[in-house]
Amino acid sequence: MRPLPHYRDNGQPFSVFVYDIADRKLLQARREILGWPYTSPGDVAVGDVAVSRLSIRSQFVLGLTVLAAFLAGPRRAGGDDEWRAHLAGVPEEGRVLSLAEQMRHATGFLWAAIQWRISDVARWAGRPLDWILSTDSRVCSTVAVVVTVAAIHLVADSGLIEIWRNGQNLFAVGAGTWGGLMLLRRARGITPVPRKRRKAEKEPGNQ
Amino acid sequence: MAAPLRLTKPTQAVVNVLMQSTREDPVWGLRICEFADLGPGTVYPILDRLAELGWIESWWEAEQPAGRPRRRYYQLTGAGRLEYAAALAARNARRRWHTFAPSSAQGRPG
Repeated sequence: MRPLPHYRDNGQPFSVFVYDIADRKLLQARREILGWPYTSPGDVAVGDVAVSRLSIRSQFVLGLTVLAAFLAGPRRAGGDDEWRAHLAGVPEEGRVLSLAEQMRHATGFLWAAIQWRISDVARWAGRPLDWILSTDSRVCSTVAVVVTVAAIHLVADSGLIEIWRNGQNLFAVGAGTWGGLMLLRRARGITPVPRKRRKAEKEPGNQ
Repeated sequence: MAAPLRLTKPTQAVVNVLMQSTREDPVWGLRICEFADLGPGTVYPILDRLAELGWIESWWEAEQPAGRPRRRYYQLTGAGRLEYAAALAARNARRRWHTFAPSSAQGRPG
C-alpha cells in the first residue's frame, strides 16, 4: 500500500490533527464522513480512523465542515450531523455532490456559523437597548438625559445664554433622539408594556 | 423578544419551498438550497430564524439509512403558514401604499 503524498512524516494527515483538537464527537463525525462516500479499495488505516485517499481539497472540505460545526456552537447541536447529510447528496437518486460543490457548500456552512455567532453577539449587545425601548418612561428619560448633556455642554462652552440661543437646536436633538429610538423600537419589534399592566404584574398576588 | 422577520427575497424563496413540501415528501437542507437556488450560508440562518419564530418544525429521519447520514427534515407549521400569509399581505399593502399608482390617470378618454 503506497503512502499518501500529503501525509506527514508520522503518517497522519493534517485533518487528523485538526480533529484531534476537537472533541470525540467530531472525530466520530469524521470517521463517518470518511466511511462514506470517500472510501475506496485503496483505503489505509491511521490509528482507529479509516482514512481513504483524500485529496487536499477533500480534507479541506471536511476541515471546513468541522470548523463550521465548532463555530456554530452547542446551541446548534444538530449542525455537523445535518451538514454531513447535506454533503452526502441524494444517493438514492444518484446525485452526489462534486468536490467543487462540496467545497462551495462547506464554505456556506462556515458562513452560516459566522452569521449565527454575529447574531448571538448582536443580541447580547442589544439587551440594554431593548431594556430602554421596552417602556415609554425609559425612552423619555433617555431623551431627557441626551438633551441635558447637550445643554450642559453648551453652558460649559459658552455660558447660560447659549441655551436660550440654541433652544431650537436642543429641541432638534431631543426630537431626533426620540425619533431614532422609535425607529429602533419598530425595527426590533418591541411593543411597550403599559404602565398599569406592569404595576399589576409586579404585585405579588398576580405573579 | 424576537425582532419581526424581514420578508426578503431569499426568505420568501425558502418559505415557498417549505410550503410546497409535504410530510410524505419533506425537504432537508440540500433540497431547500437546490429548490430555492440559494447557498447554505443563506438557507441555514433563515431556517434557524424561522424555527426561532415557530414557523417551522424539524425532525430527524427515523431510521439510519444505508450509505448516508440521517437527514433533518423541515416543514412549515400551521401557525407559520398563517403568519407568513399575514406578513406577506401586510408587506404588499405597504408596497401599494408606497408605490405611485398611475391607474387613475390611465384609460381616461380624450
